[in-house]
Amino acid sequence: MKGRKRFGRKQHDKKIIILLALIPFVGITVFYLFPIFYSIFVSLQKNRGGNTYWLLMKSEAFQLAMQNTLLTIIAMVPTLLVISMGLAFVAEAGLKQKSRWWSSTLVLHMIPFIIPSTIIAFVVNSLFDSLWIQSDKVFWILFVIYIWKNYGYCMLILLGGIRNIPQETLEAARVDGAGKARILFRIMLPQMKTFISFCIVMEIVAVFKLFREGYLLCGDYPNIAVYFIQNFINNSLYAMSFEKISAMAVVLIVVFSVIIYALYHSELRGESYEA
Amino acid sequence: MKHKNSNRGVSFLIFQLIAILGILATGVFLLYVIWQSVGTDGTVTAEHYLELLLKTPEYWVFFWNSFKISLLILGGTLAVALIGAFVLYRYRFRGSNLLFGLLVLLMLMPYQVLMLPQLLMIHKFQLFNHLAGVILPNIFSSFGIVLLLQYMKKIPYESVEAAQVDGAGDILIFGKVVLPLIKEGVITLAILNLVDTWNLVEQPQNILTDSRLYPLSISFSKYETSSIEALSAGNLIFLLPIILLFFMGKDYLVNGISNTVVKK
Repeated sequence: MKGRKRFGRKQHDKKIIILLALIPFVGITVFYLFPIFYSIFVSLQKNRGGNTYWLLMKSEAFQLAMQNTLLTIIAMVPTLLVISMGLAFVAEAGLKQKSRWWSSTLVLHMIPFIIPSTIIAFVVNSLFDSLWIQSDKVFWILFVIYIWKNYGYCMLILLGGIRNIPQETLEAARVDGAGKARILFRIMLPQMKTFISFCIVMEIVAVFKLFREGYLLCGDYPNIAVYFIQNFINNSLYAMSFEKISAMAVVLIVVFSVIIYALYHSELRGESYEA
Repeated sequence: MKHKNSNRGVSFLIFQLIAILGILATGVFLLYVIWQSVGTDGTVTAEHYLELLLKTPEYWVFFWNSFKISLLILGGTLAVALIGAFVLYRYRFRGSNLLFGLLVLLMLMPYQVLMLPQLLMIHKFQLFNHLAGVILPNIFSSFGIVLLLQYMKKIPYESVEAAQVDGAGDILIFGKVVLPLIKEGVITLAILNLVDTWNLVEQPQNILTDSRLYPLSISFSKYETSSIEALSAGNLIFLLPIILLFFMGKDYLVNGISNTVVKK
């Protein structure tokens, strides 16, 4: 009797959990998956001027936005990766030797990451001449903001990667007489692969987030050097050209799916979920 | 000791310097924000705070909007993430691997890219110029589910099994076994979520047209009456909650952030 009751409770719980689980998955479907398919549909609809994708590709504003965004990613992401990687190794060495400086400041490197963009834009605005902000030099301001804002987060991710390397592997390599560079490039970096891939993806996401500072600093009409994809999106939104927006969304989603898959495919296949 | 020092080399020194520079820059930045708000002519005064709080009613409206948006998103995100992660942790079903892969893909995609299709939906649902249009899409982000699942996978299987043998159903297992063991994950998620939603720019800017609905994160150009100093005071008051939160949760963050990495 008692056994049956127990069994009944479990089944009852299972039903409730599965019902509750519908909420997140329905929400994600409604707000993420369905809109993606919907925008594919919208973008393929017949347009007055011809194929939407063709119109988009021909648009000079779109070309400028794509080019600027791509160049920004190429310039900023590797720089940030190298800086945060170096910092992670130095931090690890410092923490190992119980350095007071590192144990007390480690988490403080995260503070720039949490400062709202509007405050950063406000301070930059009050420090720099508005002519300067309207010139193409504003790119370098954004560059510095990008590095300063994100190095702490990336450093902590990569530090996690260094700590994830089994100590025995390193010891074994040292005993075998491997040099420092060899240990770094042949053992440590390959072992940190997942962390580095994740970091690169997050840094690309952060380039897109840099629009917040860019927009709050330069407004709707920035210098063409910092005319990014998001500016193009805003302008298309004002013009209410939904076909264009959908086509753009499809292009970007395909591009990013490919990038993420290339960097991160083993995890996406769900192997990590099995473990 | 000496041997170690000689081994370190120039690159070590450079990065040590960069670390000091980073902390210094942050310190100077924060001091500058404080200095701007208490009077830039050498005398310390609370005048600007009074001007802001008494004579600028917009500030209260914007602050309340920020507060409301952030807290509603936080509550929703925690609920969605806990349920979603728990189901993926407890049940394997056809396509659950695919679903997980999809969640990771969504989590790694820049939000601005996903926002575009969402805007079409929000337009369809007539949620334009409505706070729900900002709040709902943020609640159903996959980041929380993936993060908490990482923490749940670390729970030793024996503790769940023991509870099961004792006859506990899923609800009891969730409350008594899983939840206490993923406390660090929940706190990390809460902090990262609040940091993000305290700083919403694109969504309110694209979805809300009535500036009375604006959160503080985009409204600093929308004041009509205030002086620069009063705005600086507003900046500091805006920054304070998130800094306090950060210092309250900082012990969880170091581990928490490296756990956001989805790994084998």
